[in-house]
Amino acid sequence: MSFIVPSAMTSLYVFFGLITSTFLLVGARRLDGKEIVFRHGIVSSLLQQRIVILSAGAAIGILVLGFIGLIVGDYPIPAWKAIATAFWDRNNEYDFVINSLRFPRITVAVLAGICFATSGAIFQSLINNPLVSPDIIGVNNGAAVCAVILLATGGTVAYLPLAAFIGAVLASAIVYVLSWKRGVSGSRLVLVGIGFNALLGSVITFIQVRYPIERVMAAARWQAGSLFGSSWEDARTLAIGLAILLPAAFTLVNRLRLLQFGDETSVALGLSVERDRFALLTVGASLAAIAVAVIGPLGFVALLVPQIARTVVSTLTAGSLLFTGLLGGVFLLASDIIAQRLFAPVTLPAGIVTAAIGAPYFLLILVRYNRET
Amino acid sequence: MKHDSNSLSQLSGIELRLSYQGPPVIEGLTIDLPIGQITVIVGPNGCGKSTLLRAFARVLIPDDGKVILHGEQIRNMPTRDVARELGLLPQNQRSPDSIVVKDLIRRGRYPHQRLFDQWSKKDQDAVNKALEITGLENFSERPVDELSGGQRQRVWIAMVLAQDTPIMLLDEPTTHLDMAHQIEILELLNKLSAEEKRTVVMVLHDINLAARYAANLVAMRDGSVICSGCPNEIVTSEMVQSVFNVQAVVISDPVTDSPLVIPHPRQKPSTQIG
Repeated sequence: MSFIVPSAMTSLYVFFGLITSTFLLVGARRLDGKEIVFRHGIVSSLLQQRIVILSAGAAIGILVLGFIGLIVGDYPIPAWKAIATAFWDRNNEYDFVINSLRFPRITVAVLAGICFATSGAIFQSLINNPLVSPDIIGVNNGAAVCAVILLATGGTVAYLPLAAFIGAVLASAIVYVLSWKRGVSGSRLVLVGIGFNALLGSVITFIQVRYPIERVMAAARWQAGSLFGSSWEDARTLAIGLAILLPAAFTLVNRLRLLQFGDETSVALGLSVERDRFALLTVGASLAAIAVAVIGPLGFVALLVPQIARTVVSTLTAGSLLFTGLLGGVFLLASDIIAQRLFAPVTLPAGIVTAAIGAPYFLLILVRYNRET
Repeated sequence: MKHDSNSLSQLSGIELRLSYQGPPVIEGLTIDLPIGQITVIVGPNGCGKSTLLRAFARVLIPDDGKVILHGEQIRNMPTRDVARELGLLPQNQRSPDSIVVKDLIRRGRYPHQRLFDQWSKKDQDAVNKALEITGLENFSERPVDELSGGQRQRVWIAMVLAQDTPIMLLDEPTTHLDMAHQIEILELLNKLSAEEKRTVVMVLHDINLAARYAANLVAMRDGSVICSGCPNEIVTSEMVQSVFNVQAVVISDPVTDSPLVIPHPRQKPSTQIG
């Protein structure tokens, strides 16, 4: 059984990768809090130098990992050839592997990572709890129910993203409506979400037991969250979603900054609390729903990346959301490369790797959080 | 242009009925708050003073009656416009984990900011002034959770100051503060009202501090106003008896000449009181 032995080279890379990123994060904490004021006419803004540097760092991380993702793989391609094929020289035998398999997959990993992490940051701030993620309002399980029904009943795989998206939006809408009682409070949303998620989970289990095993297996693979078979079409779906939702999130972040103070202070500072909360929940849930629709309910990115980002950036601004998003891209891309290479030639779904990294880290946070409160 | 006065009352409540989804806390209450002065609301616990303040801040929507700001019903005004006129320090504040002082205070500038105008010179000046007035300049980079209760209270007051509104509503601004800081905050509000003609409306528990700083004192009990007016005229032992159910003598404060309430011990039989 060769596949249970992790590839030595990859393990080494992973090890060094982890060490380097830890050092970078620890180093980032030492960056001073210098601020850059920009004023020109009626346009003005305040940038934290630290966030600018960190975002640039995360973007560079994405580029580096992206190149690694293009170069490594089962099919051996010389490094230089791989990059040339991706960007300017498509007339060679590597075109298919690079431009139809690896490049779109990398792009999807980055974009989906941005979606999940930004969504997680919005939810954690909105509910004022660092331990929640978009799945609490049923995004993941809602998507899964529809996807599993589609696959188990022999529906076409082409409809999978659409079905998953509809399921995610429906489930979160139901949780929102059920939580409404003269407005929606964060804690009620969490409680209703937990209950409704359990219900959806049992529906999924029922379908898995009831339908033929080979169809159910396909659904199970989707549920683990895999980037296998990502296409340019998937990347386009995510890019369009981000093009709409990210500017919305950046605009709404100022309201989110006030909602963190609770409803009374928010009203006093001029928010329409329910309307603004609804807008933020919609943006947050849609970000997660699109990513789930494309790559499946991949866990832990939305939960953990905002936490890691907060260890170096304590404020909440459009800049911090951007940095969190980019860090999500780094995290998911790195996870996918590890998932493909660690047990090569056997590949894992990226969701297994994010869970394997995420679960222990999450426990650590949970223990720390419990000690503090 | 700001904080100008006209003969109309800036803020008034008319026939207010206020409740928290149950029996009304306040019913049929009409009250005018004078402009450019300090109004202090006093009264026993549960008398509805915070509830009234919350209605003025439009945080609590009246079941009946209306709150009028500048001759217009506050509910019909765009909430962000109101936030440039009227600021609130709520009784219970909630700050996000690991937020630093200046970040919190800056958020008070929200009603003045526009989509692409996020950090104007005015925003910066208002925040710096608020830091200076509250003596928090050296704490601006500190996480709020690491501060003492009194420092934290000053941070929130600084946020309301940064909001820079002609009317400030404060629900017990001196809780968690030691004596020096209580006086400091009240002197500050006094100065703002005297020099900049701001309208300050606050709830205080200490009737002596209230009598000392209020130009207009409002005494409430069981959801209605027992009396209101200049502390020198209304603070009497009868008033303290009827509002707080406490027997007391009222003397003149040797420092400020404002009324000073000295309660009798509870156990004393009432016949001994003159």
